[in-house]
Amino acid sequence: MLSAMTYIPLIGAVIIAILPSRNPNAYRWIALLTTGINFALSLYTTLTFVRGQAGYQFEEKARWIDSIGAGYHMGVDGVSVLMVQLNGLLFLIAILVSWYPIQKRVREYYVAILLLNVGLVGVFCALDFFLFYIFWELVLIPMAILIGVWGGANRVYAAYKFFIYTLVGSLLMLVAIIALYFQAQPLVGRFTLDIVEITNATANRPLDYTFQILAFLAFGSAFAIKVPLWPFHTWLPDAHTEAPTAGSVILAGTMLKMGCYGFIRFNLPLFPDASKDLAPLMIGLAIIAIIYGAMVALVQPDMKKLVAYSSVSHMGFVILGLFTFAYGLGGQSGRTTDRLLLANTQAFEGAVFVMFAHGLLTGGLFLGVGVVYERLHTRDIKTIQNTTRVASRMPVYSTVFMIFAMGSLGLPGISGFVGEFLVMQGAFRVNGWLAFATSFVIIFAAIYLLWMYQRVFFGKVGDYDPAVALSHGAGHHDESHGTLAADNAATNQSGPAAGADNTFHGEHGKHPTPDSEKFGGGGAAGIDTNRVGTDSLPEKGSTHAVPAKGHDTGHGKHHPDPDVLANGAKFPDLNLPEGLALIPLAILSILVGIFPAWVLDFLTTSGSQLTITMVEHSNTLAEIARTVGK
Amino acid sequence: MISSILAQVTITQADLDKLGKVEWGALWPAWLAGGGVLIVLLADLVLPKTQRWLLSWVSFVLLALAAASSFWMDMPRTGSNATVFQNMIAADEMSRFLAIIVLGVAALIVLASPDYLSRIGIEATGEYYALVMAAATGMWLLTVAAHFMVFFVALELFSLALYILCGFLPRSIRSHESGFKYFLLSSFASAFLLYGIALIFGATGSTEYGKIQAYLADNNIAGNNGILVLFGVAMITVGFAFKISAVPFHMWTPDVYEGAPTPITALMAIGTKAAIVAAFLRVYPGVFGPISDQWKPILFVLAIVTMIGGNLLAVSQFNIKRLLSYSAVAHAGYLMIGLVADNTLSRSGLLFYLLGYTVMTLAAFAVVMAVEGPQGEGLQISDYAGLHKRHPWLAGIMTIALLSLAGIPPTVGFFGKAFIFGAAIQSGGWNIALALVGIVTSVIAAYYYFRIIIQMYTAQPASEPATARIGRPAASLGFVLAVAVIGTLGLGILANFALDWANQAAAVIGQITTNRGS
Repeated sequence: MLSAMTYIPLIGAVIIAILPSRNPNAYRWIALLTTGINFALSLYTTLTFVRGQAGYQFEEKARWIDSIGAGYHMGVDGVSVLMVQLNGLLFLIAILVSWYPIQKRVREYYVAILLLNVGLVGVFCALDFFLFYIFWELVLIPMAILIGVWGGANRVYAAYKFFIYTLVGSLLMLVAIIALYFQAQPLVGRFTLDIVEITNATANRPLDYTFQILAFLAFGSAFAIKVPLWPFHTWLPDAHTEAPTAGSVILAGTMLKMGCYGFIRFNLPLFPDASKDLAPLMIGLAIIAIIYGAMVALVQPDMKKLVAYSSVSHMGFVILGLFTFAYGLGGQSGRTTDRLLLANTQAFEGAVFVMFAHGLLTGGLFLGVGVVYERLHTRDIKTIQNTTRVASRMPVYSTVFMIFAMGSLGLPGISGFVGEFLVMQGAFRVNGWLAFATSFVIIFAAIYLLWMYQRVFFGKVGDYDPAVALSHGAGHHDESHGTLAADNAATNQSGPAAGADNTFHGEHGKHPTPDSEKFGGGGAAGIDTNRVGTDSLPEKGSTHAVPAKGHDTGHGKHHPDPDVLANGAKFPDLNLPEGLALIPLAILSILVGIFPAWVLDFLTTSGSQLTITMVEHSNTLAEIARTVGK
Repeated sequence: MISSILAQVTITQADLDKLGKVEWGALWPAWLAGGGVLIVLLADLVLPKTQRWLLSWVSFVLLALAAASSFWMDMPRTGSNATVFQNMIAADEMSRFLAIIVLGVAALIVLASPDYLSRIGIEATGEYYALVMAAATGMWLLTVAAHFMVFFVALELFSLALYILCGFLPRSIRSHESGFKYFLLSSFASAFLLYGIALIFGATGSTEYGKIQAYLADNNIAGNNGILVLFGVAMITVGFAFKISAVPFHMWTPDVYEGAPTPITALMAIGTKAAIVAAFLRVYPGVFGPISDQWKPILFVLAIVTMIGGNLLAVSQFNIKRLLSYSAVAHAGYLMIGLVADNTLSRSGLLFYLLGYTVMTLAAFAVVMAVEGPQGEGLQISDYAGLHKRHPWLAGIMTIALLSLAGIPPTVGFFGKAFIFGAAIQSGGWNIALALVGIVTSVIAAYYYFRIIIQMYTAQPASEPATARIGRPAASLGFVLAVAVIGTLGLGILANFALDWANQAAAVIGQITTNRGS
């Protein structure tokens, strides 16, 4: 089952690569079918997963490189089954939202995205270090290519940065894996790279303490880069800003989870002493990440960057949860009794819940940014604000986006709240000040998300006339001044490409087989954020067209028909693939928020299992557990 | 009287046995490849001009047979005494392993050559193929040598052939420079090597691997004799470092590699390197195993300097052949880790790495051959801009080859690096530094390989490149590309088979060392 899930995208990628047809729709349908099957399989896995059962399920074992003890071993536990499920869902969505936006090199695009899928499913299922590392690295190349080829203006830089940055981490991890391999040999009795075997073997005789610390740091830096934890986060905003929408969704939705997953799967159970002793460091970094991410998000002019920094902040919650859990095991608390701390699995469950919810919500936010970018070709908050009043033109989209924004800022009832609440509860048990510090961030989140929402969706206060707003937007973009006469600005804007290009972009829905050459030729234009952003603004003549129509957006409830922008560009609400992607995601995030037990049920066993493993595998923790237990 | 003399000289079967049987069957690869030299040269005389295209096929078939013949090659003895021809030649699993690498790669390069040669305007000529076959014969003999005389003769055999091949392009001044430079510098290095062999002979009284090893194991290396041995080892190391192009003996590499015809560059980068490394795998851990504390520090420093230097110098290259030659320098550093770490995993890992290095470098050079223009255009990295649009398959193969060279899984390059770094970590102590330097330099390497990938996929050529109109590669070159890329991926995913074989092959070295005690 797991192997099928892993390799079906590979088969799809190969079929797309060798398909003789040059029709891009063929690639799209094959990719959709592949990810559809993948999603169905992941759904089946999730539904048939036995929740109360400890250990791994759906295990598959085969011999591989016997001479070094590497085997083919796949399996999922409660954490990874959730991640695989999330992954299946997000890839299906990623294929859907790429349907119209991706018009150049369609074949390669889908090959890359399906290869990415192979790697991501594999990472969460692999139970052998070698296999894990292979999938881990397999993720790297397609993502770098996705950013580098289909990205924004600064895409090559971002691709380099992403590639080199994460490669450094991976190689550190490789050294640690090899070192662990030799360290574990006397414990297991033979050379093996099997994760389960090594983890079980360290139960009786924990790894050497110095080695634990070193290996924790090596593994930890690989995972911290992937998470990304402050101060290793600098690649993330670049990668996110430049990546195409689907790339951002996957990057935020599942790739960041690889790092968190690594902490859960390796650092905590294998190096429990180091995890406990280094927990203050990790908690400190997490707190910095949470606060820093939120503060920086406050001042971002670019929607995508804002969401990217909010990701840094949210992933800080995951790390905070995981390491307050680890710290709690030690039972050194200022305020509460040690007995409570020993059962501090809320923090763990909350962390994994944040991982899941963040995948849904931030994935949704990135999708939302992609939707508006498709129409206006800019993500600059001020430009959008000055261009039009999105909320009255795209009511469905605005509603959906609101759900994601609310979820992300932690509104009770939507999935984001549950995880953060649990993490904060866990943090409170360790130290009230931790919870105090992090709860402030929720306020920041509310500020940056709502402020962004207000500016993007409701336009300028007291100025609802789209035509006037449009010409102001032009002025803003070029001059960064607030008040420029409409005509003046429009004159600046009489770019040659404006008219034709926009009609094309706006009406994707009406081109069943868009000519890829046409878009390919304008490839440079399609990528350059700023230039296209201004291109899509009106020409002088057409500026007056809308008022002449007597269109009135002053009435809030008024539902405008797929509206015509001043320059003749259509401004439709969500098209079919976008709707299919966004609306179920929004519904799901609400459902998970209302019924968090759906997700938490998967985690209870994993949490207690992890606690037992960590306590068993550490001399000091076991000692403490005995004393506290009395 | 006469009859009594005759009776005395009558050779009995017992005498023959004492002399040792001549195990002709142990050298099948050499007979086929070396005999092929003569066949091709003769055929070149006989065949009319219009029929000479046959020569490439004849030499391909002979080289492929030579590689395949290693499977029915005789291995009369096993264990530490697996030598034939009065202990001159080692006939063991490692000989077989290297026959596949060295002769196989020569066969593939011969197959890829006609397309390239006709494009740059050289008519099919017998001497080209004859020389390639001579070089391949020499390379294989070097890997099976169990005696320093065979070692040196084999070394000279392929070096001489390569001097000529490097300068083979008639109208290219760079090619002439390449051949001449290689000739001068390489001869100089060979002289060092030969002097080292002479000193070792003076100290130990033998040029036979087994005897030298036994002497070194049984006698304390001290006094005048010790000085002779150490000087000998040092001289041999100079020769080795030059041939494997270790920093700081690498200066010739980029110039020679750049000027030589691209198939010959590939042959040098792959075949020569594999042969030298394999030969010294017999020499350092084997022959000089008893005095390993003497040469290990030297190779340790060389390995670190080579990894850092090769990778750093590659970053600033604009010519793809120069870049690949610096990358070959860097890989020499990784290979030397395998020699220094010196344990079971390092030896088999080293042989595995050689196999992987062969296929991935062949893939990269085959793409370079396919893209290169008649006057040597298309060799700048900027010429690879937008290659993806012109030749999507070539770009794809190049990507896989470069990722493998960078050591990204699931390609074979990753497994090779993992085994070698693993061996270094296993051997512990200062050798862990080797693994760490290897890791850090791998990141640098990933950068410059990735630069080419980015060029191919994202960059737009500034103008129509001169090589834009070069069509698809010929079927024979396509076959080479396919073999190389399938090897790069297949040997990675199915690393178990290759590694098991490498284990068997490497066991030979371990046996000799442990038998004699180190």
